[in-house]
Amino acid sequence: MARGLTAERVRQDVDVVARAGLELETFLEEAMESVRRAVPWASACVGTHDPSTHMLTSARKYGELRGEDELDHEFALLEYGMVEPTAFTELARTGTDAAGVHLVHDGDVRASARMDLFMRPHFGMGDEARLAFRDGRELWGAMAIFRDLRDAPFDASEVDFLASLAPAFARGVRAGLLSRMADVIAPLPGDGPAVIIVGSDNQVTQMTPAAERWLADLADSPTHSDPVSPIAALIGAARRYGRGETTLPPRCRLRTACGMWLVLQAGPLSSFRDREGDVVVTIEEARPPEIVALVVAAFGLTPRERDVTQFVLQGVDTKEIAAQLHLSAYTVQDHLKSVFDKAGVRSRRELISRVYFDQYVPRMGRELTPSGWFV
Amino acid sequence: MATTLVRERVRQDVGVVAQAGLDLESFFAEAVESVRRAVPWVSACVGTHDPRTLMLTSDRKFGDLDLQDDMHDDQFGLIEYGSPEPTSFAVLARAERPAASVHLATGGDVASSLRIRDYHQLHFGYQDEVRLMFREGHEVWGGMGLMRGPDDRPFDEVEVDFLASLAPAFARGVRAGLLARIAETADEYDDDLAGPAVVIVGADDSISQITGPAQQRLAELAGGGGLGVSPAVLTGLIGAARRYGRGETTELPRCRVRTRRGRWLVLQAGPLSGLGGPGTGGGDVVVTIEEARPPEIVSLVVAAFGLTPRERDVTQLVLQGADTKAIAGSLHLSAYTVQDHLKAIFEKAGVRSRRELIARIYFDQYVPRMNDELAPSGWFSAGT
Repeated sequence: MARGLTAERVRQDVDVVARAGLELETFLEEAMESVRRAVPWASACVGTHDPSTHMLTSARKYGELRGEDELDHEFALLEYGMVEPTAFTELARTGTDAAGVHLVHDGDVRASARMDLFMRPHFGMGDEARLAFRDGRELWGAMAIFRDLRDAPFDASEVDFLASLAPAFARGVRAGLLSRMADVIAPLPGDGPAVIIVGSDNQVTQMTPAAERWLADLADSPTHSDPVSPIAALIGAARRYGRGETTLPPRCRLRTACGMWLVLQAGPLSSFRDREGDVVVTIEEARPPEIVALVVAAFGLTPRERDVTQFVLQGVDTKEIAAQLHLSAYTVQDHLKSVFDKAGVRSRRELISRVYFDQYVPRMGRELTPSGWFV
Repeated sequence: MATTLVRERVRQDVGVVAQAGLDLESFFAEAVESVRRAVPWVSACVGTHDPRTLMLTSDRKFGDLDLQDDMHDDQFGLIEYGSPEPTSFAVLARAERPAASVHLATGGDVASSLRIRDYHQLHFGYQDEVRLMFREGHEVWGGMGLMRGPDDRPFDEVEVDFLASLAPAFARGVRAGLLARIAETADEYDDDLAGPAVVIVGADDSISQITGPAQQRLAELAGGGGLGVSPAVLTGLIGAARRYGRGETTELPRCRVRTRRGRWLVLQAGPLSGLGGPGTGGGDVVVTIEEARPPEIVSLVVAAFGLTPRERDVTQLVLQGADTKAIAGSLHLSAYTVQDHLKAIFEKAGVRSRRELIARIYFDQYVPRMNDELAPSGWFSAGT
């Protein structure tokens, strides 16, 4: 491990790129290479997560693993279908910023099913260190970096160093999310229900045309080059839900290449026939509360600013906001100015549009017509 | 036989109850009884439709049918939407005259109607049915079927014409009833309903698989006292999805339904494909139940207000947060004209301000959850 000066230079560098307003892929690419100088790795995997549910929403790989996509499905099933101390969901639950598998299991790396059943036999990995991109309470993604069997495992100082990068990575992912929100969009939802049925062997058995279209749309996006992983993650988590190991049915919010927010959900099907063990995944267009919570969190607003934003989104004027919150109109204006600043907008109307109307406005005023849903 | 005077009195009466601001069920109960004086019937079945898709969104029965249980409702939806005929709702909706009787439409051969033969005759012994679509302009808000038994004479031309003349009044009554319901505030979001709401129906049209949230949604829609959504709504979607699967239509069925708790849902159906592409899904049809999104609600609610095209333009801009000046600029109108339009819109919507308008149109559904923060334990943690 490069000590002292290198570590400090990398920390500063990651912080700088996190604030540079880069789009997501560029930020991650730059930051991961920078990290490599302080904490050498052979391979790396970086995912974004839905901050509410900790489900995977996108994934990309670097180093030796780049392009190795055949086993993504299996990986996500394992990651979200089993619980172990270094699983993403456990790092989230326990508030752990960074962990090394070698360190967590006192040198017995194979005590981790993920290492023993997957990373070791398939890719010859000897150790893994993970960092959760946590910013206050919210978790925006995570990375996993790997070393080969012949390399030294990650040591405690390296894991501590990684942990110190958590806020910078969270900021970079948040900013990347926001930079994408300025995209011009004019999407239409697919026709009909978008449903994927998965059999007891976790393979897809049936699908609707709308689901196929959404999957193709997700695959088009630079950030979801492989839509398989988020869906396999949902399936793995749905298995846990079906076994009663968690009370939360898995879901996540994704943004398509054309800027549409989607909600993906998975759950077990109860059968009246002989098709036991089926899981269903649905893909729906998101609704305002689903988008607003995520976008407003991405702005990084203070609680007071969130209050003001909520009223603005409901069309309340400054005077009334002031009365509702027992503030002076000047104070409300100050909050508004700060909200506009963080959201990168200049007016209430732009704020409303930025937060969620972009998705709906193109269809909002359409009349009922005989030939189409929103023509 | 009803006289001209009776018909005129009934027409006036239906017009009055349609404008009385009644809730939907009261309006139907009053209007359908009133019609009975001019066009006697033994049973009546009245449904509301999604004006965009013409799919059934609710139904209720009167007269003899009211005493029957609902055990055949599932077959009704499959026949009505799976085997269209000249007197089917979807066909009649676009007919020149929005009313028709099966006896007259089939030249007296009522059994040539699948609906009469395999449903009304088979289960209830009815020999004729007359139907009216609640059409106003181009929009259809519902429809009704009136039945006569084996000892009754079939419906005649005069009766069909008279019913057709009631179409706009019935449409107005349904619109007003819908608006009365829109004013109700949606309940708090029910966290128990997290997860996908999916029903899978096999080739035999019976449910083969279902998710927990779908079971809860269906129970919620089924309502109490026979006033809610019957199985016919679900099987109507399935019947229409079968037609899509056979290539008889290019439109996948869907409809917007409001639950008793005030939440707008979208129901959709479509055929499932296996990995071999279309037609390899083993005849399975999937139905999903989702919460509606703003454009889905707005188009329906705004249509229910009965706005002019200009008023719709103004409403759209209000919903986007535009102020009067910006609206005037966008539409090349003076600020005074915009104010006049706004006044007319407020009156039709029964609100006093832009904020109330926005709330009335769709925020009621979302606002209780709008300020929820991201929470580790759930999607929207109420009260964080």
